[in-house]
Amino acid sequence: MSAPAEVRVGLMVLAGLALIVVGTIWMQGWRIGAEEREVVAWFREVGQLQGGNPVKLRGVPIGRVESLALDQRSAGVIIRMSISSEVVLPEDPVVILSPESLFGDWQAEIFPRSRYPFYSYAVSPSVEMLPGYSLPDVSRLTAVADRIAENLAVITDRIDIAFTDETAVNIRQAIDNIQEVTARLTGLVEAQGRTVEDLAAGLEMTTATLNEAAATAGRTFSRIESSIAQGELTRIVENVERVTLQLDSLSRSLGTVTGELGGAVGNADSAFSALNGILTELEAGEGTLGMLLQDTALYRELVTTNTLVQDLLEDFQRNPRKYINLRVF
Amino acid sequence: MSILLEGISKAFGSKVVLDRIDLEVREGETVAVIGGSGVGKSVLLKTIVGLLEPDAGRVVVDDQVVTELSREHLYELRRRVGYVFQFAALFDSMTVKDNLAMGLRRIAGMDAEERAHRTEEALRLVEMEGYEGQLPGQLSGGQRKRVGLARAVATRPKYLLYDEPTTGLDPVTTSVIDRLILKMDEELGVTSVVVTHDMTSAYRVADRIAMLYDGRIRFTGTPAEIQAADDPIVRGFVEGRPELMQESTA
Amino acid sequence: MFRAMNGVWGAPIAWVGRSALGTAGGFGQFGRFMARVGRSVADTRTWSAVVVVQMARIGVSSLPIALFIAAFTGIVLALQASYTFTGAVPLYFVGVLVGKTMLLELGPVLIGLALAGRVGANIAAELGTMRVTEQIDALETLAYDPLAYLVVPRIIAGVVMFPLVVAFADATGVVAGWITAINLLDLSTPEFVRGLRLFFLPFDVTYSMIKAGSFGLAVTAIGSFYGFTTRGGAEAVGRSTTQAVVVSSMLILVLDAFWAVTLL
Ligand SMILES: Nc1ncnc2c1ncn2[C@@H]1O[C@H](COP(=O)(O)OP(=O)(O)O)[C@@H](O)[C@H]1O
Ligand SMILES: [Mg+2]
Repeated sequence: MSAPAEVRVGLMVLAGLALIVVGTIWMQGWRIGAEEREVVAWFREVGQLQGGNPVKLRGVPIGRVESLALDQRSAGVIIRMSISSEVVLPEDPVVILSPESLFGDWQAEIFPRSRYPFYSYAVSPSVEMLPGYSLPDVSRLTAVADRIAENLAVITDRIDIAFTDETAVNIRQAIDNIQEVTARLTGLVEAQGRTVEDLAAGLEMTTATLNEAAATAGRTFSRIESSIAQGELTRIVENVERVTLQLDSLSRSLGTVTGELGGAVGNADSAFSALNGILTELEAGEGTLGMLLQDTALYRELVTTNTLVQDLLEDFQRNPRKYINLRVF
Repeated sequence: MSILLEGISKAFGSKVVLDRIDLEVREGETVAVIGGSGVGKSVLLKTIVGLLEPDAGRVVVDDQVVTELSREHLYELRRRVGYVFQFAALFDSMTVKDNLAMGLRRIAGMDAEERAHRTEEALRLVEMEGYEGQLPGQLSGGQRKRVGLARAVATRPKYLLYDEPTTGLDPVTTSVIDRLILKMDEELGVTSVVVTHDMTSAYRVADRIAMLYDGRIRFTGTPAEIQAADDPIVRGFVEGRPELMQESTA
Repeated sequence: MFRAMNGVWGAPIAWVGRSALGTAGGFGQFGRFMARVGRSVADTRTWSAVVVVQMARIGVSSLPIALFIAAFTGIVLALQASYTFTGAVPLYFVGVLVGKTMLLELGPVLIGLALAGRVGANIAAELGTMRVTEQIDALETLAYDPLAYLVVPRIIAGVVMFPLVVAFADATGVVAGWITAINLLDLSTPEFVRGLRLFFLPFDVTYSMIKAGSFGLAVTAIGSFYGFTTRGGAEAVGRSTTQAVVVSSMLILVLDAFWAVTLL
């Protein structure tokens, strides 16, 4: 035996403790000696983001998420990130949270606002904080589709009873938006359809339903456009009802396929709960259905719905594999 | 300043080894406990220092009731008692010197120099100088026994308990050890219990002899008294004539 | 009917009964033993003098075998991961699997089992021999609390050194898997490291260490218990040793499941 027991034990204890500390820090992705600075961003909600997730600029990892904290006063989430101090942030930077891979780990990406101007960024209460936006999760598509269907049903009911020329404009705008969304959905589904061919039968069924729904919706909406001018209300109503049914079954199929994400479906989007609130209120109160249709609130809510779906679609189109591959597992 | 056993009983499972034993060892006295193999001599010796707890009865050593002592006080008492084990029970991972130092380390305020001095002294006493650095495995049975004895006396105890100190030794070593027992007695006034089945040794070292038989003390007396005893069991054992013992039990 | 039962089933049923009673009794005995050990921890003066020697024997000397096991485990993990992930999963998941498996499961458990054989058997044999040759009694007569002198330092050494041994083993396994991945698999260092870090949580290290510490406690306490309570001769020492290894190995697996349920 070479060294006495004390020396050997001492060496092993020190080396072991050093290994544990340095190893843990290294595994967390710490680059020893790198200068870092803090960036804070403000979000309405943060999806699946966790401390330690990467922060990227133009796809390059430049740091990591340090902490997430609820901002109690302003109903938001404050995220602190540390990034390499050499990195220069773009003009008017915004932070977008999105899934990094198909396995549920998220990332925070910094962009100039001009890159994605239409997202509804959370406006930070302080100038220090970058505006943030969290991309909706795929599971929320189901919920959104579900609600579109519900809302269309409500609208249909109301249209059925009361309709004025004034509201026609509002409705047409809303319908325009829905149409655009539907068109995008169709495109998406077609694009996905090719990738999806070899996937589960359930997904194919969904795709088919989605396609059909979209096609019918397209036809319906074009008729609505012309019919509004001619005042052929009955047919509008009928068509919208049919779309509603289609979308309803679409959302149900999506629900089946994304069964494992079903829990998330329950998360009502604030836009829709607000909408529902308004609707019930008006229904219960003195408001007539004509008033409801004239009220721009409905229009605004529809627009919000569109934005939400659009965000999702944007992300779909940017990273289609992310969503499609998710089904493979 | 004596050892007193009162009504000690001990059984292992259903097997009664000691059955209401009474025995007194007066200060400075050496009592030999004799008896056949497996009769419970070692068990008796172990109850004296609390290595075994009797099922009933009281053990008083140095005016302290061993059977009622707290652990701290028991350890305190044990520093005044030396125990020589039948097979030496040396710590085989330690050298002879370290074996001896083990007991000395428990004596408060003893420095390394004093320990070395005591170790040397104890080894000289058992004529084992020069073996300090050896491991027990390198020693013969007799040498191990002597080191075991040295370890027990190194702390200069007031009481010494010997468990068959001469069994299996050659006659020369036997008399060396017997002389040593006498010397401890005479020079240091140690109170001792010597467990043995070697009658020659018993006569040589004992002031009194107690014979253990069938769980009880069959006989107590001086060497002269035991030689004159007419109990066939005692005579059979003392004279090495098993036929006498058999006749009486038959 | 009972007679028939006695004839055919009597022996096995009696055996089950005896085993159950024996096990329950064993738990009670072990519990009392550990309670006494707990009290003896207060006797710092006695165990502090010898704890370093035990740390060297239990920790430092176990390092070579532990690293050997860990290195091969890491290699096999990397190869099997790549085999399993063919096509469907990105290859950098080899890093995820090697890192997570090594830290959470194989590092602590394999090393724990290996040391149950090495350390546990050693302690049981050593203390068993000391018991049957009356060395433990001798300690008592020299005014040493044998639990404080023999058992406490071994258990402390186990609890302190097992996590360190496992930390080295975890690191060795990961490095071995890494080297395998870049040499034998179509994987680069950045990819492997990306996988390694992807789902890493500092808690993984804590978990690994908690497991290793509890295994250290199990192996040393069980080894001490069987050694200390040996009765008889050399044959009894052999029996104690075997039992110590069997029982501490089983306890490691039970603890493994226990931590998975309570901590994950
Ligand atoms: N710890 C123990 N457990 C069970 N039986 C024991 C124990 N110690 C001694 N015995 C039994 O008690 C009896 C007396 O043993 P012992 O005192 O060693 O005899 P001896 O007179 O030869 O020294 C023996 O039969 C032995 O088997
Ligand atoms: Mg004996």
